[in-house]
Amino acid sequence: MTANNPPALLEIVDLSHSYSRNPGAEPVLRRISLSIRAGELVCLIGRSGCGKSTLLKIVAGFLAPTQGQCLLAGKRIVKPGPDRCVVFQEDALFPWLTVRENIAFGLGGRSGTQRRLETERLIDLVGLEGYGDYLPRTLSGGMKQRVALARVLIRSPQILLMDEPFGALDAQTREEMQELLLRLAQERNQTILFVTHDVQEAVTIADRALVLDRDSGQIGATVPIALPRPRNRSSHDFQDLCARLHALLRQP
Amino acid sequence: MHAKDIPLSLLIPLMALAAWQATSAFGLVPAYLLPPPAAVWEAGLRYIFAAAGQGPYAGRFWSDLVASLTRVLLGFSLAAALGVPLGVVSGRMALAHRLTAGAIGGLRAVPGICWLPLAMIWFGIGVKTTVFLVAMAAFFPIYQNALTGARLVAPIYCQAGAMLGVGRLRGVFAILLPMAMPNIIAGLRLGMGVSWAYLVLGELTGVPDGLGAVIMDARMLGQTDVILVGVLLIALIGRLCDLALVALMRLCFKSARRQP
Repeated sequence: MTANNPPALLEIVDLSHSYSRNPGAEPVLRRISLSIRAGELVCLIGRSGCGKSTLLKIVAGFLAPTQGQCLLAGKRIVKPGPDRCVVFQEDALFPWLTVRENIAFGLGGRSGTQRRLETERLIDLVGLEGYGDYLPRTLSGGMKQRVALARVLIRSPQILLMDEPFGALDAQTREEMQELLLRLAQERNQTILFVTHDVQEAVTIADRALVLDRDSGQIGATVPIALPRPRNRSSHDFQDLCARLHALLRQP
Repeated sequence: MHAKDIPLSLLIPLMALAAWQATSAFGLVPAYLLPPPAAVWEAGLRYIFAAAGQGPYAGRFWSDLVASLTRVLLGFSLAAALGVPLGVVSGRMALAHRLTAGAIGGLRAVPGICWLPLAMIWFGIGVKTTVFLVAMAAFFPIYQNALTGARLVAPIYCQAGAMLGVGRLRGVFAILLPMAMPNIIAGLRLGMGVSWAYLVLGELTGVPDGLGAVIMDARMLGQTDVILVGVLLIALIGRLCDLALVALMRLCFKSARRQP
């Protein structure tokens, strides 16, 4: 490892997972090893059912792997914790809490003033000024995901885990959310593991794309995405990379 | 209920009242079986507002109301205090559910009225028997709905809590109970309704006061108008208790206020 290669923040070591306890059953994930450096935005792409969400759940600590382990900053992951927060695909906001209360939820025991200041800062950061007193059910899908993002960023997680967070949004909103995410990631030097099945999305945001192969349960390819930012979707290089990832996904 | 719904909700009671008036006016049913509305109204006024001593039931209403309300609220509170925690725990912990499901299912299969003879032997005639009957009957809907509500809380909310650093105990009060709140309230309202039914059953057994006692007493004296007064008052007070219960829950819990 060279000096300008910082050490891995997240390390997944020889990890396998099977949903069945039957030892002969086909594992969803098979002997996966990978590492993510601090500040890196890595997209995990794959077709539906390939186990990409399973891998994310294991990193989050919601699921214990059948074999192998995950290390965050050298510490073994055994249960969920605020150092690894998830933005889910579906709406997981607390429906009886306002936007402000949802965002402040993770701050538990801190003092009133500090809590208020921090919450307002996050509301502004994700562009929800004026919506603090709204209930989630009155918000659009994009706004809900902004709240979901703010309520985890307030805990300053070491790694942000995102499980197809923009999959249910319309194209326009999805682009806005991608821009917001990129801006926040840059400002905070946030490490992100982002699961998606959308090749365009991966090429738009990622520093590196990992292609998870459904049949083998392994990382089939690692594709560095070294395009300059902000990325131009109509550029030749962008289209080339999309085509390459498409081809990798289509492989038997 | 919104103010604009009130005229519509009064439509069916008013139609029933008109039919009742017509039945009496045309003499279709003799007055000793179904007294005319005006007679029942007068009996009601006498029962509620007249000074004591001006007739057999004059002015008794307030002491009957206090007696009945006390019994209902005691029995209901007991049922809620046991039913909600037991239901929530059974809904979330498979072991607790396996432990309690058989016993509670068996007890539920016993019709509430079967407890009456036993309750009279154990507690005698009076407050305790009625409270026991009310609590026995109100427990099951409260327990069952709390159980269902707790069980239906999607794992994603618990995961969201866990990743935000919420511990188990805070998770119960900050996530589980608020999420289950709509079901818990539905159970409490059903329990409140059942409470009034079993109150009357408990009061039919020879206690001197209470709305159920008045109904039973009036039957022996052939005072059909007073029976009807009792029935209508129980309907009215039962409805008011339901409204008060919902209002109280909404006052106390954000999750009751802000969820449909």
